[in-house]
Amino acid sequence: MSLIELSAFELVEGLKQGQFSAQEVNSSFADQVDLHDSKLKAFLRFDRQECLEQAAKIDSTGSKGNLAGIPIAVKDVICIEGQKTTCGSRMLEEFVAPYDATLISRLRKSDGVFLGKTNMDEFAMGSSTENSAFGRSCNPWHFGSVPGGSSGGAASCVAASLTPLSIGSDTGGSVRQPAAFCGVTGLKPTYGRVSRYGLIAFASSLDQIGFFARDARDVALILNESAGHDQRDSTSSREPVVDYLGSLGSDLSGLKIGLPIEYQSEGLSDEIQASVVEARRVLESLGAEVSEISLPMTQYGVAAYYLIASCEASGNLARYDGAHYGFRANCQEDQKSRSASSTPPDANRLLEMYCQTRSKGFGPEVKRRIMLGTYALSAGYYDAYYLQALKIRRLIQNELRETFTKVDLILGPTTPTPAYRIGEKSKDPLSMYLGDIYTVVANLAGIPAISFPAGFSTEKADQPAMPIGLQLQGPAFAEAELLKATWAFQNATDWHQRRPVLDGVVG
Amino acid sequence: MDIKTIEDVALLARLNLTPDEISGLRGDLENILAYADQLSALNTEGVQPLAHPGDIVNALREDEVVGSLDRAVLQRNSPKSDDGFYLVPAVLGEAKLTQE
Repeated sequence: MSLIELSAFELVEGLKQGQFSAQEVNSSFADQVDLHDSKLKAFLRFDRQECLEQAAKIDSTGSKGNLAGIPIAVKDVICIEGQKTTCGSRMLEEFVAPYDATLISRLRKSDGVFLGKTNMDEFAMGSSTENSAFGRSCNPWHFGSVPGGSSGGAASCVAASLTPLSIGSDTGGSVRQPAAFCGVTGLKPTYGRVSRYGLIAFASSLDQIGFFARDARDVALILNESAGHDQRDSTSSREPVVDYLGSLGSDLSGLKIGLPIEYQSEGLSDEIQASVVEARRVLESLGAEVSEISLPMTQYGVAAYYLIASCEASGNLARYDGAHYGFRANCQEDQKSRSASSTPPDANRLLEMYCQTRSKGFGPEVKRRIMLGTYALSAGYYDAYYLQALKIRRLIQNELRETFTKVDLILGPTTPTPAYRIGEKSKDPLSMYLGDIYTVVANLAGIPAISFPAGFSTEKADQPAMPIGLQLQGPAFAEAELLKATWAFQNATDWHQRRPVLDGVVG
Repeated sequence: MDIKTIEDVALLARLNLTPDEISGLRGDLENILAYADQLSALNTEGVQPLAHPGDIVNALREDEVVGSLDRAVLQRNSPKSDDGFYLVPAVLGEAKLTQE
């Protein structure tokens, strides 16, 4: 059996027993990257030499960390000291991270091997990875389809067996939606469960680092090493961390799962609805009690989310001013070509430098969200848009808290449709936003949620069968329950074990 | 949403927009805001806005002296810096830029 077919958990076991070395593991995955990534484009940067050096060090020192020798790909929104961290943006094309994110420091202590940085929508704004300034990534199940986003590269590389584990970030579904599109397992932990220090900010009250793996056991493995309070992130939680691996099991007796009737909305594909029904049957066979519930406020999630996220983004991205770090436009050259500028002609050159830098450094979707957020926060609109969205966010959280007094977890689709074709939605921002209808609620309420493979669509004339992902949501800090239910489901099904065929080579 | 509004917002956001960008954004923002208008139909009287999903408040820590990041390392990322200073176009008077 090839090493790339093993899960991270199996690799850890094999490495401990000396069945193979960290160098063998890492060169197997590096070979797979070399073989397929020129087409997939999951990685923005991959350094085989650097990865094998890390592995050699682990072999020679006999490191005993819980992730010793396991390759981990990192979304290019998370800082690794001395490495470029671009956020998929021209604005940070040359930015070299001056420090490690807290998560990276922790995974270093666990002796994980950092394989490279993965592609993403610019500043994590997007649902297809088509907004990257450095080109699109492909879905390994069909190179003509999107991998989802914004963590599209991180999902794609796990699906294509380029790495057993990867790290993403999830502000409105950016881990769960690409996990669903690529047929892998993706967890967004509770807000504050994993430190955000060193994660480049998009919308600070919604951002959370999350994980991709083939199955829930591998997610539990990396979450065990990642979760916990960090003094450097004042929003990180002091809630005790449980042993997520130790919490896994296959008996779901007594587990109460709610199925929101609103999630069977128009726009949900029949095939995904059929997967929900089938998953319900599987979970019931494992002992869970599944009942229908109602979440009427969730229909307002997308509208509230896009206002709040854009408002926070307009503030967070104000830091890109061409002075402290990142790109700066060459203003003298630009003076002549300036047209229809919103800057008064007598404005000083510092203002001109800011405006030119931001206009040339940011791509269209980032500008759109900055404009939306700035508008919604401006005098006269603040109450109607931003404040109203925050009040509805409260009502959504209240509704979920009330629901979690009656059920333990909520089951539903991750996305209304499977992965769509490249270019299909990129011209219509609102239609792409509506694809986030099932995922944004967890970010608004700060609760954990996991997407897991649960079926396939039927083959179409212009697209082969594509993976279907379903989502479980739980109350704050219920990661152990989410992972247990998902792992139990995965023990009873084999959807998570299906792998795409890449160029005739089964990965 | 008129063009003047778009231009005013762009100035607040420190963006220069081309005429094409302005007309594209006008349509996009109108669509998005029309969709968002469903929120105004809800009665939210007396509802406390929720700016942050966690229950945590005032994260305190011991007041200890700890090291900070090295200035020279941080300034390597600056487009223009000199001897510990960040250089930007002149902001006072008519002085010519010396560094550009």
